[in-house]
Amino acid sequence: MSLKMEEFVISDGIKIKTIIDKKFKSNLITIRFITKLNEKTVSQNAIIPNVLVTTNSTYKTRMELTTKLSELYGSGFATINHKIADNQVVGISASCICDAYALAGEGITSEVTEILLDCIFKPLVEENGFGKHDFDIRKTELIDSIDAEINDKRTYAIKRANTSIYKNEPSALTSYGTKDGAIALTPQNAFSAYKELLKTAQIEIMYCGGEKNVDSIEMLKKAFSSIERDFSENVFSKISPLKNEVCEVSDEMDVNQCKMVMAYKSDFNTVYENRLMSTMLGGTAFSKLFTNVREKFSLCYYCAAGFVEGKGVLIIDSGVELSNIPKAREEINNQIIALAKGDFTDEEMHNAVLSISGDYKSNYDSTHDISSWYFIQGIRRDNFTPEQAIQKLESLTRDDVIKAASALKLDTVYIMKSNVSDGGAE
Amino acid sequence: MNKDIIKSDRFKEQYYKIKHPSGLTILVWSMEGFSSTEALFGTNYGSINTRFKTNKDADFVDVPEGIAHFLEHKLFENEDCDVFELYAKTGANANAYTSFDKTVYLFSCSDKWKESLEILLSFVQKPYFTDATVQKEQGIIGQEIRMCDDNPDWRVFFNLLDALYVNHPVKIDIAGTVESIAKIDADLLYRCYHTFYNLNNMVLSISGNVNVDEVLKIADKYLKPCEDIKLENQFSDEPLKINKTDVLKILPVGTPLFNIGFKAPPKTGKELLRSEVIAGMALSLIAGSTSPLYKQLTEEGLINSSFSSEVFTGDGYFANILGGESKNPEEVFARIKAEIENVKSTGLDKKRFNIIKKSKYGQLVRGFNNVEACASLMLNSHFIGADAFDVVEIIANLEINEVQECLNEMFDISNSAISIVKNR
Repeated sequence: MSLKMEEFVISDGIKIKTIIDKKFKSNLITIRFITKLNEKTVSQNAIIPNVLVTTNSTYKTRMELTTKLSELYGSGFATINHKIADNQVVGISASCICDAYALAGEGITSEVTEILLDCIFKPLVEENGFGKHDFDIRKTELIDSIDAEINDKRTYAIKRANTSIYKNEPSALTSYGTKDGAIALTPQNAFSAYKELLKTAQIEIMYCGGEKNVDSIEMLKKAFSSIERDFSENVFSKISPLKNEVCEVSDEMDVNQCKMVMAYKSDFNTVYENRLMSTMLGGTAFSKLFTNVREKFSLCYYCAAGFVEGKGVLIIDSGVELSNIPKAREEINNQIIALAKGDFTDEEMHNAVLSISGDYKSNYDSTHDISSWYFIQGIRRDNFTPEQAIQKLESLTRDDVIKAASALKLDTVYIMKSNVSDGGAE
Repeated sequence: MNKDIIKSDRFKEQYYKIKHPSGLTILVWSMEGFSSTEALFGTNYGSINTRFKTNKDADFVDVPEGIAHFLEHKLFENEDCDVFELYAKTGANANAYTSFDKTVYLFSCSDKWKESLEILLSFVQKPYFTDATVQKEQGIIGQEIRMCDDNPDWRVFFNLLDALYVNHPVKIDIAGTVESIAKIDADLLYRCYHTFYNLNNMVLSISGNVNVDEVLKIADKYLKPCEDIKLENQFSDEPLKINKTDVLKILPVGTPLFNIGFKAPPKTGKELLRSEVIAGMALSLIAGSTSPLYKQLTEEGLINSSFSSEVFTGDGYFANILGGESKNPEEVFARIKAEIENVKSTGLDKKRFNIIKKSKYGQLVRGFNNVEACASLMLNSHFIGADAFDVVEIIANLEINEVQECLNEMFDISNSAISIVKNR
């Protein structure tokens, strides 16, 4: 493996990691701000990356900035906004081809870095807020994105379930926040939230690519070393409390296929044990849920499980016909009981380890994936290489899987019920 | 067996192209330093191939819509086990997809690629269908069809195809309908299988951490020679004119979704590839993110960041499609048509043409970073009769007048339609 990873602390709560692998023909710079998920600031934080990637004080319109990036061989800026447990992660990334591929030998990476840093440190500001004209467009787009959540019924069902699973917890929020929160946005309150992020958020910078552009890396270090900071360490794992009774929620909608989301909670807060258990349960096409609930009993079109790290929650989501809901629910539960009783073969366990190992190793082949890998490792404070994580997995025993499955307790069942017999009206 | 080397001096990249004695074309791209492998075993057979004949048939035969996709599902079931159980032992991530004009079985892995390749080549050549398993699959695919009916992006797209095309089967859902798949039985599946899964009609495309000689050793072991059966597909005559100008569907959505399409004459071979590049360039110039039209529509709140465009092509169809979300899709349609008329008379912007060319070059370079993208590029290029690096040279040598000259044919206002999905 020719990959080389180095880490450098810039200042309090600000780190830069460089990951260099000569096989890559492009470079990717990612800047993430990690802050507590909070109803008051979630929408303000959500709009910040959208504003930052479209203008800065030099390129005052989206068209000017996009045209400049296109000239730099189709370099691209992208936004980041997602949750990790009760935290919101927002940020921006820049990707460009390595200088070696520029047709006239231009220095692409350093110029892209300069523009990216201008977006962060010299945004378009007026009247102590983001530039109003562009901000209003981004605000409308954010409201449209919130409205469009309903378009993808599978994701929407999980979003609806989350409001019950994490009742009274920050994780009940989506990373966009609510429509009311988006409507209340102003250039001033968003800019103020941005200044707060720069001051208080954990900031993780990653430079990943085929060439170590020393100028770019030094520019990044220098720019972030001069920020005034008031940082305190964040806690990443906060287990979601189990409800006294199973919470049952349903919505009716004009859909042909019903959705069922079941949430189980666990106080067995371990990364690799839960990853292995949830993969054996419903993470592959040879998992218990796929082979039994879908294939053997034909109860669901899809049925998958995933463990929410830092919250101790296992979510099983399925697409199911109305008449099959009770039977599907029973069979899903039976598969968890089977794992908890140790009703699985060594081969099932070995195959799940192989599958996860393959996923881990494949991270080496993408600047985006390996960059995300080391970001998550940093959050866990492990800094494991994919091989080290595989060693952890390989050291697990049957008993670890049994313990992880035995700790699961049903907490919430959400159902999106169909109220149509033959689809929407024409 | 000749191992032809397909080379790009511009990118210093190369791959092997081999016509195997079995009839199969094998494409192998070894990518130094990469740890994963992507293998695609595909047949030139998709949802549109519902009427065909071979040198063993007296006349053309018609089969039910959705049968190619049905066959894809059924091939995963061997006589004695499920294919996923076999892949479970190698750790590969396996899947398959059916599109309008191809069916592809694939795996990606970081270890044991040779064992996974043996599974891939073996199961695709071992069909096993019974009426009982076919009946069970009808239930599963019926659920998939209903799930797709709930997907507004899918519906808005297929409704546009229905508006653009009068007879061509591209307008039919890839999975067919609950009624059409009810007509499928084991005999029909075997007939389609033996017609389209002839190795002369197929390709193996493999990239990443892989060695050409090892691939050929496995191919020699698992591929049985196939007689070329002179397959012919037939499509009903498709007029140049569109079917209807607009379609509206009511579904639960946020902001209304729209797809706008311009129907153009179909192309084949390298001419198709060249036309795709030209149309893509025209779309970027007319409505891409650096265009004045995009700026205007965004600033007036008529489009948002979901707006995008694509060149949609295949055997007997060619359309330029723009879509996204809008509170007023009809106004977006009117503005796009007006801008097309404008560039036809005043000419395309040369400065932006050169910028977009540079941008597309950069996108291609980044594509060569990606094992999966390289395997797909080889397979897709092969099926249209081109090589993977042809597109690079077409872009490099493209002149603005070539794009300008094609505008009338590719963006005919009288052959355009709009599909909208909105809330009740």
